[in-house]
Amino acid sequence: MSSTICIPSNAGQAVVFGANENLVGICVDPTHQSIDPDFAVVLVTPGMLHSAGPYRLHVSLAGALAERGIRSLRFDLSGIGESLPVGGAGNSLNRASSEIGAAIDWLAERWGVKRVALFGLCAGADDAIFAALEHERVCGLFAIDGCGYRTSRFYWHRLLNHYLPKAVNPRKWTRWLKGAWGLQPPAPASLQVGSDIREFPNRAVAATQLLQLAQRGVRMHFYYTGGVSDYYNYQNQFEDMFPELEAVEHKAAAKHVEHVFVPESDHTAFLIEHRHDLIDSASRFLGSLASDQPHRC
Amino acid sequence: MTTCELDVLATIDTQRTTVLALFEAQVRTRPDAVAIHFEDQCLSFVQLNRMACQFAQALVARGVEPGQNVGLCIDRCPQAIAAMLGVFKVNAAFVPLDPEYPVERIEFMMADAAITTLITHDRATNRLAQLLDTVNRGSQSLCWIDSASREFGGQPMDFASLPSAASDLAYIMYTSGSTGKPKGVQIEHRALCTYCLADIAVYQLSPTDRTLQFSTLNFDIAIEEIFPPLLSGGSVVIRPRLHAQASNELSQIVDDYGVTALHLATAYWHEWVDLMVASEATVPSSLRMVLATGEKVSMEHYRRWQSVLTHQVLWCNAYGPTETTVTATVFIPDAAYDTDPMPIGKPLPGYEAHILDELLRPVDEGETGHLFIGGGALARGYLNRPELNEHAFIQVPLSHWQAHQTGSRRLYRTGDLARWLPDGNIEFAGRVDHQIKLGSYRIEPGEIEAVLNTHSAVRESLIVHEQIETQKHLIAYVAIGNENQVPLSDLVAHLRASLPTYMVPLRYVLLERLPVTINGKIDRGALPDPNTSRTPHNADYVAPQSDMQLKLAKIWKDVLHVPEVGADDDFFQLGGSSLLATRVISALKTDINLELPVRDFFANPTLSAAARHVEVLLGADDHSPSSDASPDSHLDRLRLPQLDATYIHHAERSLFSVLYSPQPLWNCRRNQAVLICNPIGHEYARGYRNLQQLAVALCKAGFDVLRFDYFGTGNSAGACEDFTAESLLSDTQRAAAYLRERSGCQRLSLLGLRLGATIAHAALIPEVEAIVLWDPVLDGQQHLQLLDRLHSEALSNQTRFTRRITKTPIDQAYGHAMTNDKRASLSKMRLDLSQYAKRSSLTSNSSSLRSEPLTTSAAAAVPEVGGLPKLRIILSRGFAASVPGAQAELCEFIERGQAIQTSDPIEWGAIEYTESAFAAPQAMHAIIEFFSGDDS
Repeated sequence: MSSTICIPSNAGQAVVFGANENLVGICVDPTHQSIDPDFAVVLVTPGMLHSAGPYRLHVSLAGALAERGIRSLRFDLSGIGESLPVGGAGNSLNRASSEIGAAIDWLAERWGVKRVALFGLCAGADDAIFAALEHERVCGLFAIDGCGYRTSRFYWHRLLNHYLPKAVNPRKWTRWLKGAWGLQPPAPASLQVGSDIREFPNRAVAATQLLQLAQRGVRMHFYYTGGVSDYYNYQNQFEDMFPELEAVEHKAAAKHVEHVFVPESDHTAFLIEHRHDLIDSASRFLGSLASDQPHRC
Repeated sequence: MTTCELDVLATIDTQRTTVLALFEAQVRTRPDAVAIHFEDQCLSFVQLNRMACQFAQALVARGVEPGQNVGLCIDRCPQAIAAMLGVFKVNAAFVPLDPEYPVERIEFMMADAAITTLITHDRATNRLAQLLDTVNRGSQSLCWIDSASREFGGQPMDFASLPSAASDLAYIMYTSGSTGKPKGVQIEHRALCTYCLADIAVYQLSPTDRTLQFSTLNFDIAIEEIFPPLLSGGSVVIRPRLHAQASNELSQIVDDYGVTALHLATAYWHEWVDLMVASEATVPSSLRMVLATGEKVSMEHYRRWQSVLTHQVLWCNAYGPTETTVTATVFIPDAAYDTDPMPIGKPLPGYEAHILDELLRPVDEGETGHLFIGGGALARGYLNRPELNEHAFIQVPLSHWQAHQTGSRRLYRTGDLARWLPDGNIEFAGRVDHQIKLGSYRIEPGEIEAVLNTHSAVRESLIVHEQIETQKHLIAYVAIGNENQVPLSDLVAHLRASLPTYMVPLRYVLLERLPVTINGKIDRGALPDPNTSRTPHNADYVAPQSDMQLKLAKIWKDVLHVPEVGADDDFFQLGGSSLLATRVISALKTDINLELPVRDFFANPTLSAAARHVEVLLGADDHSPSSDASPDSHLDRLRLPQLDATYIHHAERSLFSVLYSPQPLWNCRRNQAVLICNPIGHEYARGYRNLQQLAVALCKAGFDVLRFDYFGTGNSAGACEDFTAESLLSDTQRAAAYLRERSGCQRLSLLGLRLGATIAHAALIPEVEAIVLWDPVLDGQQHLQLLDRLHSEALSNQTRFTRRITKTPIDQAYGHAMTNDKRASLSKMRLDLSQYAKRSSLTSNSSSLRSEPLTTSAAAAVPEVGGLPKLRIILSRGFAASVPGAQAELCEFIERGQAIQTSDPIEWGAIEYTESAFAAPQAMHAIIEFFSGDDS
């Protein structure tokens, strides 16, 4: 297998934007002819990681999109990466939405972009959904390890695939016993990935939001990895989480919602082969949005 | 040494002989035996003696007379030892002057010791040129002898030593002084003889021994490493200048040269033991004696030492101030010894130890008293310091101890507390004078107090320290009377004018007068709580105003352990981390039932912004959130740098960059620039925020700062697998040129973290003023091995992956795409600091222990020492211990103060931390001060 995911031969244009000239981003133009000059993708900052993404995921995706003829803008939310913190704009979801709005405005002013898709990982997925609700120009989103809710089948899979393997693993028992006797080294004194507070709405609100977006014609792709097996751990859990989408009256809208579970990948697509698969899925989905007719937005 | 020879030594009257006489006796006894091993050379006793004669001839030719002092400003090398002996031959005394000391300090020592002749070498003469000019312009002229010059080499190889007496001075060793100036300890030949003979007897030195000369010459441990071995007919192995590539440099040297005896600073011995345990190595088989000295021995390390021993080694815990020549007491535990704390032992032959109370009466066993040392090895006293001599070297009437005895005993007051153990050993019980160990620095509080007391508003002062978790801070209690008022910033400025930054207290308590006991001594127990102390503020300090600011300030103070927080203070620049932010969040949840994500702290890092943010959230039902364009956020923006993001194009590569420039309104621009060099891979992500914060902080201090990504990394173009060491270097050179061109600043400094440090140093950027290497990667191959290990551990991490992954089809190392070419290129990278390291005049004909370095020694760019950038190495907690070879590689930089160790826990090698950002307030503080020129 080739180690090359995508070589962003077109580095892009570095930009500083926002009402306070504090947001730093990179706009990457299509390598060849644009599929649709009115369409672009905004890559949202993944949690507290900066705009290049984990292991340059966002850089590689921007390269893949450019090869497909799609413009993208990735940028750091204020206080993350190179973007300077200036406070304001309410809670973090509001602030992120406001700054994503500024990015959409920049694309509109600079390139005449009218339709935007959002790509978000982890907290970036939460921000993307919230922003999609607020900004009418958002016509699609690709959410990695977005919101999730435990179902009854979740617990069965948890028992089968998580607790039982641990129960028969002597090393786990040794660790547990060491912990019980205070012999285990203390936990690292640092914040680990995923330790931050995720801002999921409650399940019912999330279902309403998804339906609202779907009814608006926003196409959504939810990509879950094995890295969030503490809340999402089996294929099609999405359908069990949101049975509302299966209701007859919502069938048409629900067609806009796709989901996939990739248990072998971790949360940040650490392995190149997993990033390769993820970028392939995302760029195909986002590419399909570019080919969509504008009236669907 | 045979029993017979030891017996002969035992009969020597140290009151009548000199070290030189004992050395010359060895020259006659074993002329062809090897006296010195240095790199690939050996010098026999007779050759060493001839070299010493040449020095003596040169000294006489320059008019040096018996009783004069000769400066020795030279690195570890055979000439240094020959020079010491040459000085003895003309019955003068040598004064070691570290070539890396600040010129002002050397100037003081030379004036204090009335030095008119200096033995030095080319590198030091370049450095000292200004000093020499100054001296020569004055009333006296200074001669110097270049130890490598042809003129010197042409001197006759014979010299009849001038007569000398045991009471003549052998050398003067300068140590830190509590009055703000170093003090010269004068050691006579009889003291040196007493010590050497005791050392030979206790450590059973023999002609077959090879003792490693590891220490710099201005520490008394060097005396221990040089003279006892030579006087016993053994040889001295001088540490090679270019360090071995082996991960365990010390073991490698011991193996290479068959070293049998080692004298190590305790801290270094600890590191060495850890390294052997970590690498599953054992103690080199040639070693038969190891001595640890200078600090408390950790019992855990003694146990570990036993676990790596495969043969019998005489291990000793030694204690001794410079004023007692070298070692005064020694403890030799057996293998089963397991009691903490380890005693400092019993006096060496010819030494006495006394533990006395305040009235100079012996204390009972188990009682704590003052430790005094007596015997034949005491120093003559401090040079030109009668007031110190009176206090430190005292005559104690023997009638104090036994009524019927007459006469008196001369003793040295060590300033240490101690107690007798039942078995006759001495247990160390702390310092009397409250000496403080802060990081790698040993601080005499009196030195700070002396400077503070010279401030016109200060009547008296007292320096103490406080430890909170792993952090130690200095606190100054300052008595200013009832009329004086003094801004703390004045006190800080006053201290900074005379003292290194690490000696300037962070916190101050101003008092009318210091509390005293009934005896008139400062009553430390009655001092106000350190929590009442204040931190000096900049002129722009704004106190918290609103209720929410005050409430948050209290939480921040508790979490960050800082005495005060201003409205404009930044959570992260006060030492906050994302983990500490969670503690603030937890407190907010408890106090006001508000739950915040951590990233809110990143977006609202100042106290005023955070308070405003919380107020908005609490009033969300009644108030609409403030917009990005609100006056408040506009004001916040004006407090932050101007940004210019762009791609730098060169060699068909496009490098993402962000230039941080001071706002014109700040009026602080220095026309100086700093280029920041990133690490690579996951370390790039780990250090991202810290380097970005440094860019902001340096910019606020007036610097133009450029951050950039190398080709194939971060937001730059290019695939990860395509970058190489060469591309990293050329990208850095291009970025530096861009920064100079874009900012208009010709004065450029560099800051690199991890591999970025290695690259910054190796990029050979011309005319760089200063360079900071933060936890530098020393060896590219080791770095790749680290990435591979972390990658392998990540694959088996069942928290990350639901199933264990054994191997992957793509060559990758912790997020990096790799190729054979990339691996080969990166593995050749080395951090070569040899231009900064001490060199001797033998450099030209020595062979290098390094092979095929891609390194980029700074010599190629700037051949003269005077042209090298000012260097600062920052080492986070445990860094040196965790990187094979680092301690050995960097120890002399630590000794010279060019490398500083912080207590920031970063843990580059631990899998638990690979995805974590880290807080490094000490490193960030040190870096900003270094670049701002506040650092000495």
